[in-house]
This record gives sequence, structure tokens and C-alpha cells, in this order.
Amino acid sequence: MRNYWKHFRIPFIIMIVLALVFGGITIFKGSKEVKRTNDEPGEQRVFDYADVLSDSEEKKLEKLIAKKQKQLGGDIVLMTIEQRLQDESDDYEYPEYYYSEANLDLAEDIYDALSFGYDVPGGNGFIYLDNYYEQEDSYQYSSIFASGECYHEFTDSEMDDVIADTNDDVEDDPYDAYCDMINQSVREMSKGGIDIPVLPIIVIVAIITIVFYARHGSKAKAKKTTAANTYIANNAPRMNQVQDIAYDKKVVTRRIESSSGGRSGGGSRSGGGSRGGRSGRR
Amino acid sequence: MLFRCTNCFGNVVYSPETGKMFCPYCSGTDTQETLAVPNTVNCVNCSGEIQVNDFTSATKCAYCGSYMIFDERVNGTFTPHLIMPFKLGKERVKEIMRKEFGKKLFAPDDFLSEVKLSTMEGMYVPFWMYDFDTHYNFQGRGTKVRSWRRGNTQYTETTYYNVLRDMDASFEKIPVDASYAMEDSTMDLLEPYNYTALEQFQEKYMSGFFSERYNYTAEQLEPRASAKAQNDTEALMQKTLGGYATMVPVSKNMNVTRKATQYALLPVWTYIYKYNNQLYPFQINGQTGKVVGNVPISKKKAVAYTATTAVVWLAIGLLIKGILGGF
Repeated sequence: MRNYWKHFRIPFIIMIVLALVFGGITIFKGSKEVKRTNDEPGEQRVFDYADVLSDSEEKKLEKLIAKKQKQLGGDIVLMTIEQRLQDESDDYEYPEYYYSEANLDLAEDIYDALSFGYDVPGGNGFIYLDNYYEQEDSYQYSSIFASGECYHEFTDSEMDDVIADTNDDVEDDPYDAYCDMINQSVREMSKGGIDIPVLPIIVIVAIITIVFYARHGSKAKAKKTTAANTYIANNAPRMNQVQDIAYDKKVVTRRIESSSGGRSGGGSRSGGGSRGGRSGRR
Repeated sequence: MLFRCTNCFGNVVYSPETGKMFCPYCSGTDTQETLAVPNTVNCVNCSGEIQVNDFTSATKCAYCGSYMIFDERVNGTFTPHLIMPFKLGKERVKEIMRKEFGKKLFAPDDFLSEVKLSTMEGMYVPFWMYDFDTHYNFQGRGTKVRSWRRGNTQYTETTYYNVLRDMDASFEKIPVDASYAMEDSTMDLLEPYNYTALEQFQEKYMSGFFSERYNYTAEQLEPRASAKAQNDTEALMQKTLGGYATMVPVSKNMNVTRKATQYALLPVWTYIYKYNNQLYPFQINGQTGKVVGNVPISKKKAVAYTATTAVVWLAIGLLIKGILGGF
């Protein structure tokens, strides 16, 4: 194994340097706290109107939110309600999305009404509104409304992921589900940079490993290094006759169907002013 | 025959590096005299008992280290017509082995150690070299296909050919090893040798090496040589049949005529490595340095290196992801 350290010297050095850079950035980011400039909304961030959390769980969530708010530089609000949403879907442009949009609108109204915002009222932050009421369509709706910087950092797909993950667990253990929701949301918004998926990394590492094993573990005896003319005098045979006589020819024709004009259709929908993810659960 | 130094009475051997006879004891060059080796029982230098088999024509005394050539096995019907003297010495072959396998990380630690590589021995392997004339007449039917498009129509034209070929090939010195102990496929892989270095047989080239007389006669091995000639002739014919989409042979006639046979000794270094009670033989062409053999794999090293590779690169990948992603 004497070649072990010699062989892995460079990868080990690269790994150590990257680990130091990673550690340095982590410490730097962890120590960075954003100062609050909006005192209007008071201290409360957890509003459990649906009564799914115990008092102690609410306190623990408040504590977690207080810590994460400083890290994020945005307000984090959790509200559970059990409220019927007025069915006005007939007047709505896209009736199938009515309840989710209505729940999201409600979240936005609450956020603005209570003057949330870390920097200014209506500023940085987000609210997670979990509506436990089973609406006319037999679904319950959850929404995230993000504002200010958080609106730019929290993408729709990230919000959808957070809501989906929270909904998976909320019925079994609401407290754990909301803790995860807060952590995941802050993590998603703190990311920045380039989001590299893990799967390609694993595939590349697997390829490197296979190539490495194949290179060092190959057991090929040797390659043949003689050719057909190796032992031929003057390296070439003597050709006495080379004749290629064409005696028949056939031509087959085939009509190619020209492609007829295709139809392009379908519509795209863009909604103005709608900010936030939404999802329903039965 | 034993080559003895006239200066110090040491055993003079052939030096591949200098191409001269060399006394390793007094460093004298071309200082040899010859002693007859009357039998294959005792060493003429120290009278120690010699271990040989029925085919050994040159060996080394296990007691005094003298190299002896058995006169009766290199004379008469056993006199080689040709010999290719070793061009590569042991030290050069060690370098070649280290270069060839030095980067095989899974090989056991002592595989390329000085101690183990020093056990390598040079041996002249008996070969029969065959000259053949082959005549090959081939007739077949081939097709060539051309395809193009005009407007909305695709045209495919197939032309049918009568293909006639008549070829003569003259093969010179197709080598077939005449040693039972040497694996045929290994000896084939050691080819080719550069025949310009072949010389008329002289015993002096054998001093310092092991050797065998032929184990099989030329007639016994002719089918193998003939098969080589036929395969090569077929391959050469196939090269002239390129460009056809299909080729159906109508008739194929090949005649092989043996013209001449020569008995030759060709140089091979042999390194036998033992690992986990298994022998791993390596043969090295004593002229070109081509190595043939399977490298043993240490499972412990294979697991350690492969696992470390995976873990290290995965860690590097995830760290890069973390740094670029801002986590």
C-alpha cells in the first residue's frame, strides 16, 4: 500500500482545500445576522387558529422562527386556520384553480394586514397559511405567500416542493412538519448560486470509479501484434486476377410522403401578480 | 559445453548489452575457452548433480551457478539452423516490467520488487520456422448498393457482381514453438521477432541462459503452421473484397505447399510470480521486450483503492455543489 498516499495525494489535497473553503463560507454565513427595521407586527409569528399545535410546540416554533428570521433577513409567519372559502369559482377565470388562488389571496391579505416585513411593512418575508377547512371540492389548501427579497429567492417550484413535503407529514405530526417547512424554506432561500443536482454527481463518480477499476484491474494478457502480412515475402501477396464484373442492376423507387402541415395549439397562461406556491390535499 | 574464463576460471556468459562474451567474475571480455560437457548428470565445474529433463539443452548448476550447454542436445539432428541472440539483458527487462506494470495499483506490493524480479531467467525456446506457398482462387457474388433521392422519390440501386480473385502468397519463417512447457497462445502473442537479427547457430550465445531442444518434430507441428498460413491468406483475400454490401462465396480453393523448414532458438525471458498459491507466469520477448502475462490482483488493494476513489471524488463533487450552490 506504499503507493496509496502517493496516488491519492492530489485528490486528497483538492478535497481538503474544498472542505476548508466550504467550512469558511459556512462559518461566515452563519455569523451574518441581518438587522430588523420594522417593529410594527410585534413578536408573534405562530398563529394556530386551527388548534393543531400544543402551547409548548408553538413556543418552540416561535423560538426556531426567531433564529431563522435573523439568518434569512425576512419575517417567517405560520398560520393555521379552518376557514371556508367563499365559492365564487363561477366568476373566476380559471375555476379549477379558484380555491388555491383564493387561499393565496387570503395569505397575502393577512401578511399585509398584520404589517409583516422584516425591513418595512409588506417587505421581506413569507407566510405559510395552512387552511384545514375541507372546501366544496373536498380539498384542504395550503399556500405560501412571499414578499420583498424572499419573493425573488423563493421560486414557485421550491414553494411547491416545500408545501408538498409539509403536506406529506402534517397530519401525522404537525409540529415536525412545520419545523421542516421553516428549515427547508430558509435553506431554499439562502442558496443563491448554482443548484447542481446530486444525481449527475453520483453518475460521474460512478463512471470515474468504473474507469479506475477497469484500468487497474484489467487482466488482458497482451494484444496481438502481428498482421496477416507479417510473414509474407515483401509484405504483400501477388494478385494474379482481380475482376469485378457487373452482370445485373436493379433500381427500386419509393415515394416519400411529404409531411402535411401540423397543428400547433394549446395555450399558455400567465397570471399577473400572483406570487406563491399552492397546493391542495384531501 | 561450458565457457570458462582463461583469466580467472569463472563462467563466461553472453552479454546481451554488449553482444560479447563476458566474465562476471573478472569483467574480462571474450576471454573464454570451452570445456566439453560429456553428460547431463554432473556439473563439469563442481561435479554437483544437475536436474534436467529430456529436452533441456542448456541449464544452470544449482550449486556453483555455472551455465552448461549439453553437447549431445545441440548437435546432429538437434543442431539449430538459426539462433536469435538475446538483445535485452535482465536489468533492461526489469525496467520494462516496471514500466509496463508499475501503474497497476492492484498488483501485490512485491510483484515488481527487486528480489522477485531477479528470479527472472532467460531461455532459448525451440521454434520451427516454416516457409509456405499458398495459392488461393476465390469466386463470389457481391452486391453494391447506391441510394439517392430526387423530389419525393427515393431511389435504391443494387448492382450485382461476379467477383474473381486469384492470389499467390509466399510466407517466410512462420514460427511455431516446439516446446511442450511453453503455452502456444503465449508464444504466439510474443511475436513478431525481427528476423534480421537471426544468426547461424553458435553455442556461445547460449551461455548464461537456459534452453531446450525441440520437443516436437517439424512434421508434428506443421498443421499448426499451415493453419496460420491459411488464416493469414484468408485475411489477405478478405482485404481485397472491400466495398461490397454483401458477398456470397461461390467457390474457394486454397492450396498450401510447404517449401522449407528451419529449426531456430528464439530468446524469451520468463518471470514466474507466486501469489496466493497460484503461479503467474510472464514471458518477455528477449529481442523486442514485448510482455505477455496476467497481472495478479490483490483484493485488499483493489477494494481500498476503488472505495477511496469513489469516496474522495464523491466528497469533491458534493463540496463543489455546496460551494457553488451557496448551500
